[in-house]
Formats: sequence, C-alpha cells, structure tokens
Amino acid sequence: MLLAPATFWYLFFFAVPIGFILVFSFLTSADFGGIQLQFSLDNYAQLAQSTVYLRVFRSTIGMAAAGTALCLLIGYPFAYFLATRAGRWKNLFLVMLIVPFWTSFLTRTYAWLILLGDHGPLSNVLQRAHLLHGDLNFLYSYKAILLGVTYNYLPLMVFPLYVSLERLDKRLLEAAKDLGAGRWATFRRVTVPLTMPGILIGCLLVFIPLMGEYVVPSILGGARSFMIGNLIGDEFISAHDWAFGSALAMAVIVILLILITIYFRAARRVTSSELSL
Amino acid sequence: MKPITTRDFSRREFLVFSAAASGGLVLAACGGSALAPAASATPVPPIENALNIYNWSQYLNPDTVTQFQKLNASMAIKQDTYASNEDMLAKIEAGAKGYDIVVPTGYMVKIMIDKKLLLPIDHMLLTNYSHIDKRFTLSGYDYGNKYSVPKDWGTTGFGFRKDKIPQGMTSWKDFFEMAPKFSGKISVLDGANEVIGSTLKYLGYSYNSDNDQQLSKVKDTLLAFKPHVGHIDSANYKNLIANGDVAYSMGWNGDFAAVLALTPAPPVQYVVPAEGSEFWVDTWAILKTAPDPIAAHAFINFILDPKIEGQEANYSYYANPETDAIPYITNGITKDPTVYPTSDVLAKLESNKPTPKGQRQRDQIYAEFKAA
Repeated sequence: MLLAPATFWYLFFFAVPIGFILVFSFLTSADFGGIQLQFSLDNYAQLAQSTVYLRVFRSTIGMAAAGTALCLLIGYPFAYFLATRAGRWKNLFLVMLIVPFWTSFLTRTYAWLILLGDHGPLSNVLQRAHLLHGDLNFLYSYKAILLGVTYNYLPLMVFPLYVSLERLDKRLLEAAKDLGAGRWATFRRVTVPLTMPGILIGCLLVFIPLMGEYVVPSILGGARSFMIGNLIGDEFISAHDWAFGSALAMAVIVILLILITIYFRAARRVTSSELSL
Repeated sequence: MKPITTRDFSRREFLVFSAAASGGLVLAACGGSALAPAASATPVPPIENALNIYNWSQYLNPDTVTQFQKLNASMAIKQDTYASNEDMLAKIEAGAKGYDIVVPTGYMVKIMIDKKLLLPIDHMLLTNYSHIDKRFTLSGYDYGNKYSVPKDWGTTGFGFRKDKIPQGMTSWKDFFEMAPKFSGKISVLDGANEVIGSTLKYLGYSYNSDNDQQLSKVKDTLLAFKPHVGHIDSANYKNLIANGDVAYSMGWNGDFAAVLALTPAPPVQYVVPAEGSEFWVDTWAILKTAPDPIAAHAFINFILDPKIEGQEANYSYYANPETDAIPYITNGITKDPTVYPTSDVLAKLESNKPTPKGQRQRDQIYAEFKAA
C-alpha cells in the first residue's frame, strides 16, 4: 500500500512509455508520421549499417564524458572548499550555486548567446583592451557546447559531492597525517575512496542527462554539433520516422545501461581496493 | 452521525473520495469535444469566446489582432508559434488540442487533408473570399480551397551581404561553390525539402525528384558542403544576416525584404537563383479538433478584407493573393521585385510536392547532412 504511489508513478511515467518505444522500434513508420502495425527489423538494421549515426553516438558519448569530467574537475574542489573551509560563507555560496536554477534552463543557455556573441559584451571588452582582433568566434562550436553543459549541470555535480564531503569524518584525515601520509596521498587514498558514493552519484546525475542533451547543442552548437538527442528529436518531429527514432532511443538506453554497469563495477573496485574491504 | 467536516476522514473514506475525485478529473478531461461544423442551411451558431492561432513567428500583424479584438471585446485571443511545417504537424499529430487555426504551406495542406486533420471550410461564412485572385483557387494541393484559404505566397532563395561579396551572387552554383571561402559564415534553412530541393536545382534536376541516382548525387554534394555550414536555422537567420554574422543565407523572400526595410538598411540582397527554386503558398487552415470554429472563420474572413490584407503585407513584407489589396500596400512593396517577382522569375520556380518515397529519401539524406 505504501508502495502504491511509487509503483503507479513508475508504471505510468516510466514503464509504459519505454514499452511504447520498444514496440515502435520493431514496427514500420507510416508516411508523413505515425506508425503502421507491421513488424520489421529494418530500423535496427539501418542503425547497425550506418556509419553516420554511429558517429553521432560516438560524439555524444564523447561530449557527455567530457562534460562530466569538466563538472567533476570544477565541482570537486568547489565542494571540498564548501565542506571544509567555507565556514560562515558556506550558505552564501550554496545560495549562489542554486539561484541560477530558479531561471529556466532555456533562458540560462540563451544568456550565453548574448554574452559570447561576436558583437557581445565580452567581445567588445576584449577588443577595446586590444586582447582580441577580429571576431570572438567562440559560439556555434563544440567548446561552446561544453561551456553550456558544464554551466548548466555543475550544481548537479556539486550537491552530491558536498554531501559526501560534509559527512567525511575529518578525524580520518588527521589520522592519515599522523601515520605519515602527505596531503596528496591522504587525498588519493582516504578522501577519494570515502567520497566515492558522492562522486558516483554526481557523475551519474550529469552523464545520463548529458547523453540525451538537446537544448544546449541546438542553441550553442550551430551546424557543427548534432547529438543523439537532436537526431532522435529530428527523426520524430521533422522526418516523422517514429519507428527509427524509437530504435535510436532504445539504443541510447542500452548503451547507458552498459556504461553505467561498467562504471559501477570500476568504482566499487577503487573503493574496496583502497579501503582493503 | 457527525457532519463530515468535523470528524477525521477514515482511511476508507479517503480512498473513496480520491477515487471519485480522479474519476471526475478523467471525465472532465475527456469531455469538451469540438463543435460539429455547421451545415450551410442551418443558422450559424454564436461566435465563441476564444481563439487560438498556431502560426509562424512574426507572420501576423499585431495591429490586425488588436482590431479583431476590438470587434470581439470578450474574446480571448492566444497565439503560439512554430518554425517549420514539420514541427507543426508533429505537434498536431501528437494530439495537441486547443488550436483553432494553423498556417500550413501548400504541400503540408495536402498531407493534412490526407490525414484528416483539417475542418472543411464553410465558404458561406467567408463573405470576403471573393477578393482572392482566381489563380489561387485552382491549386494542386487543395483545388477549390475546400480546406484552406491562401494567406501569402513567396519564393525560397538566398540573400547575401554585399559588403562581404561585392562581386555579387546569382545562382545556386555561387551558393555551393563559394562555400570554402566563407566557411562557417553560411546559413541554410532547417528543412529537408528546402535543402535537398535547392541542391537538386543546383545539379540541374527537378525540385521534387525522387530518382535514386539524382538524390545520391545530392547527398554527396551536401556532405561536401556541410563542413562550411555555420548555421541550420529557419527562424533566426534574419538577425544573423542583418548583424553580419553570416556572409550568405538560404531563406524566404519576405524575410529579406523585412531586413532591407530596417533603418539603417543592412547591405543585403535577395536572389532567386538562376537555376530555379521553390514557389510556395502559405494558407490559413482550421483544425478538425478546433474548439472555436466559428471564431476561426470570422478571423479568416476579417483578414481577407483587402484593407487588412494590405496591412498584413506592410508588416510581413510578403505578397498576398489579393489584387484588391494592392492599393492598401505602402512603402513601395508592390514594386519590390524581392516581394513581387516578375513573371520571368516566377517561370523558373516549382512548388514543393514530394512523393512519399521522395520524402523518406529526403529525410534520410537530411539527417546524414545534419550529423556530418
């Protein structure tokens, strides 16, 4: 009885839609949109044979991995600072981290368009300081996408890390120092393994949505960047090929499941080896 | 028994109550079906109190809406926008309810008629329909305008910045072959039909070809062209070329005419390519699921008034299908060959009419083009 709301939610908003996509991926698209009840493996065949779509998968995984790594590289030191040295400024920093979230995702992404435009404020300032000659040429590229996703997903990485670091028993760090470990060794062999749950969750919270990211590549990426999220969206909306789009969506789900399993196993190995569990 | 408000709900009562509440919600959501279209012989039902228009962006003069609102003071008029016919069709097919009017291009009208998404127009309610030029009532996509009313017509081509390309451009050959010199500063429309159709014309074939060999050459051309494309955009290219962020951009004639009407006017010129291009007609259509069909007819009829049609042209810089409206069009728009091309230019144009096989081929090539 207690599980009823969760079960209902899971069934209605998760299992049923994925069920639809799974079924659609084995059917045929009708002309100009819709689905015909005609069984076919063509969608998966088309996916397997094409080099183009596989390239899109590869570049999406690359973008998601790079974005996650950037979030981790920037987020971990910040979370560490918050948990150990921020003191009375802690709440202020937390608020500053959360406040952008009160604006819509779309607005935040568009803000970068204005800031980094070839005729935008950053370009003007740099040109006036003679640090820049000609156009800024930052937007509508892969690096603009990485900037956009790191900015938008950083809080999702920082919060689990912060919680993990906050709960870390600082006396363990002192004990390591007493036993002769330098700062880097302490960090590598005590802090990181003990905060591994936070790192795991943070990375998952960032990597999984990044795999399906649609908005940032479409606004900041220009013509150069086409991720799997854009491809699936286009297949459904512009190409009206619901069956193929569903096959692509199923492929993303399967890839994610495989990657996450590998990731969990690797993370557990790091944790247990360092802690000799 | 104590009254229900002053004792605690027992668990059973709570379950019963919530079951009843959700049942009520479900019933409310299922209700509200669209009005059946009025037959001409029976009296017209009263006009509804709301109107929901799903249109391209910047394609309806706000003054027109204000004036219509004044004539119908208690009507709640809402507008929503889209950037391509396919976006609109996807949303309607996915079951979006509540829209009354949509603005499909000719080929999309035919698709929507075949999918039974449109309400037959009741011409008895369109007293201003007689102002529409005869040739716009004999279209291939909807002969006799049974399901759609022509709104604007125009051409697809490209515009270039005269300051970046002083020698000028005149053809698709220029468009595709000058790309390496302006890599990254080129924009194309976000539409499979426009991109593939333009490439077909460049290679000397028909805009609507579904020949496998011809389309294979199109794919090779596009994949070689893609690295130089900076933007794939149908809604924002006006700003990009007005700001000088691109050197040249595929687009629709009225958008470039609107850019040229800015003060100061950016050094932009619109070209209908020499090899030929697309001629299109956009239409007003009413959805079969429209909750306010009478209001929709009244609005379309209001726009068909030549004075209002002229006002529309003054705003959007697109040509409309009413010669009667020409006295009301200002700013020399009717003399502007960008908006009103001469007949020799019109002779080179084709309407977009892909076959289902051709559409599937286009979508596949276009997906590969975008992913390249």
